Amino acid sequence: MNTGNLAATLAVRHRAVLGFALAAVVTMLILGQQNTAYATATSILIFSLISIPLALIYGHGGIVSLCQATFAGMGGYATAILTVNYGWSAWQALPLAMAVPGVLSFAVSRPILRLPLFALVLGTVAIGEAWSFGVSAAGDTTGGYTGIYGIPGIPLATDDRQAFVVIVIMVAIMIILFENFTRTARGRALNSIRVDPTMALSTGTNVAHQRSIAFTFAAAVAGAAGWYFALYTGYISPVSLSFNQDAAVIFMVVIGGRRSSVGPIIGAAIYVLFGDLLPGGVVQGVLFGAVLILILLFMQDGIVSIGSPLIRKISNNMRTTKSDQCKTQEYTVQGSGHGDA
Amino acid sequence: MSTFAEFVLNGIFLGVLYSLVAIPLTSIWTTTDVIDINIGGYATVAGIIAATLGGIVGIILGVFAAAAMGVITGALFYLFHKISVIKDPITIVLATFGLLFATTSAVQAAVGTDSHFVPGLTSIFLVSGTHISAQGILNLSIATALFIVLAVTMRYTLIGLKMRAAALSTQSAELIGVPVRTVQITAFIAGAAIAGAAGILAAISVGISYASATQFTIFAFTAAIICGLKGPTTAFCGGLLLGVIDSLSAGYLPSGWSALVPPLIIFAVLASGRAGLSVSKARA
Repeated sequence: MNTGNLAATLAVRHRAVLGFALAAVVTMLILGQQNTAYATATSILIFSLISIPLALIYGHGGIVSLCQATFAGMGGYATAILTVNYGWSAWQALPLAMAVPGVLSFAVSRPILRLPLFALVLGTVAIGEAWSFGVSAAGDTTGGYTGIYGIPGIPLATDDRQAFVVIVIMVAIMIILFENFTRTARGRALNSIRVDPTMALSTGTNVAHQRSIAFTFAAAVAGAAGWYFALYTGYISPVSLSFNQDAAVIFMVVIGGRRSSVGPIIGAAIYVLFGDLLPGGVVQGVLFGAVLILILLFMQDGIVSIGSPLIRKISNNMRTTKSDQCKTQEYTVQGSGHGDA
Repeated sequence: MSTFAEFVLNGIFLGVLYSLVAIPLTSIWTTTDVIDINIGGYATVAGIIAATLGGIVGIILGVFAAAAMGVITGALFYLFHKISVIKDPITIVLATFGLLFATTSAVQAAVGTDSHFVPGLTSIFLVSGTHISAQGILNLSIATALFIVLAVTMRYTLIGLKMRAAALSTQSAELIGVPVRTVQITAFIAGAAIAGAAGILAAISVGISYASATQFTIFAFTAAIICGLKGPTTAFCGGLLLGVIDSLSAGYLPSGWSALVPPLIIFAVLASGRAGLSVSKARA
């Protein structure tokens, strides 16, 4: 395989992350060195980092979590407590910010995921409620209803532009993980569980275990998003990442596209940008609730499905071109071989 | 002893409100295989309308508004089965989550964030050193009457028989001529109206605000699964039990810690595998 073919293969395989990187670069070129719009772009990507893993477990595993933003809140609080109360560096806090929601989600989901998926929906609502109360009632440790202020900034970033680059890298890593995961044996197992859990069980797949692992992974990534959120905003409170954001994250995944790694980014962009344009959270709630229902009814794969045929056509064309090039090379080699003989 | 008895009694009076939202949640689940997350939304809208308009007109319009919301959910359920490519119950559950989100925001837009109250009975009786609220007795009477009417309807009437047939097997019910979709939509409407009654009683007893919608839904889940998600009887008992646990924990635990009771019960029941979520059998 020559360099051109390899590049074409990689481009097709990683088109999602390449498209995302291109969009990020264009955004930075448009916004320049200093621009208040970086805050909006960063908000979109923080929500994207929370919602992409939810798209992975919902779109590919059928697992619905109504506390994904709460898991991010746990990561944010772990970061805030460790950095402000105990003087840890931001890097030192990152593993624990991911571990806290990860371990909790595994412990909770392991027994519940033996049951139908309704049970987990109820369980995640309960997690959100319990966390919301617990974090407010914990007193000085969590700062009660006021929260924790004075959290140090993003490592390696001194301004909004550099902070944007950090979140771009985090989201890009998540997109690569998403795309690769769906091609692995574990990813295929998760898809088979979604389509027919009984069949998956009969072929030796440990349904509850696979679902728990996926759910835990999603919670841990949300924890990383919470880590970034706490460092970026410099504070965290019980309402920072709570029920409203849990609902918003579901909205982003459904609106954007639950089977795609890019869909949640589109969903997050719609949520944040329209949120800025619409008058007040109240109107947003009514409108977003109505749109969620309409999308579930008429466009189950979200807005990203509108562009899918076009992207598929381009990918097929690239594959066809690559295949034609390979055939041409084969003929050339065969031709030169005959010539030599 | 009288303090303990008062906590238990207050718990029962509070528990009937939970029962009244748990019963429709269970009825809808057994008939449609859908957990209606907007059950708290019906209760809140009815309570807010009753509190805002006041009087018997407010109460009647509150129940009608809740029933109208049930019509919307029923219509959505019908559309999901007629139009949507994906008909799995989880998608419909998410749609009811969207309804809850929209309802909460709409209520907040209409009346703000304050709690609203409907004037009720204020008399308190003293029996053997225990204070008993007249409104509590009225709540218990209304809830028990509604439960008996529902149980008798399910057991002895044609619509009840159809609902039980649809709950046992939709395909078999369709084969013997039961209009399953109509029965399921009726379950949504009747369930929403009962939840609306719960909302109005809550507005009289404890007050109601936009935030009550989510709390009602959590309490309804907890009450419905605490004795197993099987039918109206277990939901009614579950509500009473939850009310007593809630009241005792509010009385004996440090301030505010009773808020942790419903989530902990949900975890415990789900982890034990006794929530009754795997089968849908209607029992009156």
